[in-house]
Amino acid sequence: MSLDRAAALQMLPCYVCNDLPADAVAALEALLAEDDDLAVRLEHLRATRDLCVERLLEGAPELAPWPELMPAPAPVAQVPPTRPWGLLAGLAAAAALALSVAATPPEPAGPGLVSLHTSVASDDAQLLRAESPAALAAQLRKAGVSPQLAMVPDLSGMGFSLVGVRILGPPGIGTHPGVAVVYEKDGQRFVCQIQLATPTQAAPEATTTAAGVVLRAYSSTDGAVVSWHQGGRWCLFGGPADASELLAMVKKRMTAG
Amino acid sequence: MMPTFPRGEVVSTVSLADARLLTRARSGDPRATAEVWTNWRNPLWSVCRAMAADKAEAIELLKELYADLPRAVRGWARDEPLCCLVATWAFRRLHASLELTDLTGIAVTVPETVATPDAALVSERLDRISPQVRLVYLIDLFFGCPASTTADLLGVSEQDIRQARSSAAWSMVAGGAR
Repeated sequence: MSLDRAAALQMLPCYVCNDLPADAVAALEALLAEDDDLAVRLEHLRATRDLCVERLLEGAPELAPWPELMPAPAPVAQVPPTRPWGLLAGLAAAAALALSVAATPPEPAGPGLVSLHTSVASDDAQLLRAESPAALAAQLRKAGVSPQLAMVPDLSGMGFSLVGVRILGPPGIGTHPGVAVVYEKDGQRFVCQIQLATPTQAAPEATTTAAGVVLRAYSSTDGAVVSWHQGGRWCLFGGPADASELLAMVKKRMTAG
Repeated sequence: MMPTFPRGEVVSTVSLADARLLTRARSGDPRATAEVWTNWRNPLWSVCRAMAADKAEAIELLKELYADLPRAVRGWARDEPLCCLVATWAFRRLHASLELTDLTGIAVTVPETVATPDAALVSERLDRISPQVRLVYLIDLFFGCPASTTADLLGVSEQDIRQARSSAAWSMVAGGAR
């Protein structure tokens, strides 16, 4: 497919949306490689799109449940007045349970998140591969991944080379549907995981903000993971580094656009 | 001259998890419907905020969507991605609530100079885009649905969706940053 500059300009916004057929993508990328002005325009379109999402995304207000849909609460069991010991025993058991829960420290989230990343990064047989992030994203869509998750960030500017991507979710690894993109840098594997579900409710070990987005860090003896919520999805970036190093990496990437 | 976009070749398929969730929601499982809402309420809220004149109106728009979801989800097709079903349902509802005009004949103007607006200028530029075109841009931003699928589900021309998207994107970067 051949493409003149005027047509390329018209198509750029659809290219940014990852919504062009493969032959149009190839023709446009060939033109982008030799036309600096076109490449600069592409960067501005991308940066503006990201900025818009960042500016507009906020948590929705809570609304009352749909009354006609929610199941009615189960009826409370009536304790017969002739069996006060049963009631007392129940109250005692509830008090003991409350005490035991209060005394148990919360499970740290870091080891679970890091081990998931480590297992994804080390299993090459499960990875889809392609030459470029765009081609890999197209493969994800073909494999049935929803467009909101079919993303493959290009981290080559930070020295990360793309290895492949794995589709997460039942019945395979991971508890939530999502994708995990595997990168390599200095012989070490790093994983960028994208999903809709909240990865953990646990308190992070460290936080910082980048471009108005809160970054949360979790760690274990094998490495660390940084999570953040942006564009309606959760991202987790993890690998064999300490939490502060990963926070700095993600922050640098986000503030640089 | 109206641009001609390549069309119809970007395929979207349905993830197994979405298909399962939709099957449950279609059958009237309230937890599944609530899960659909929970997954998408923040993007829906962002679209409502950017389409409404103020926060109070945005809340009303969100409440309308919320009230309509249990009925709407029962009619959603199983063979379309869930994000596209949510996107086009929200588009149709907001288009009607805000009494927006059709998308036909949207002109695309590629600006001479472009720049990324600063954060404060983003809202100003969004507000300057006509509401029907802004809605296409916002739905694109938060739902990422292919134009061909959006057009099919809405019963509009794919060319009109692509032109609206292009028009909005160039308007956002036109001129200088402040």
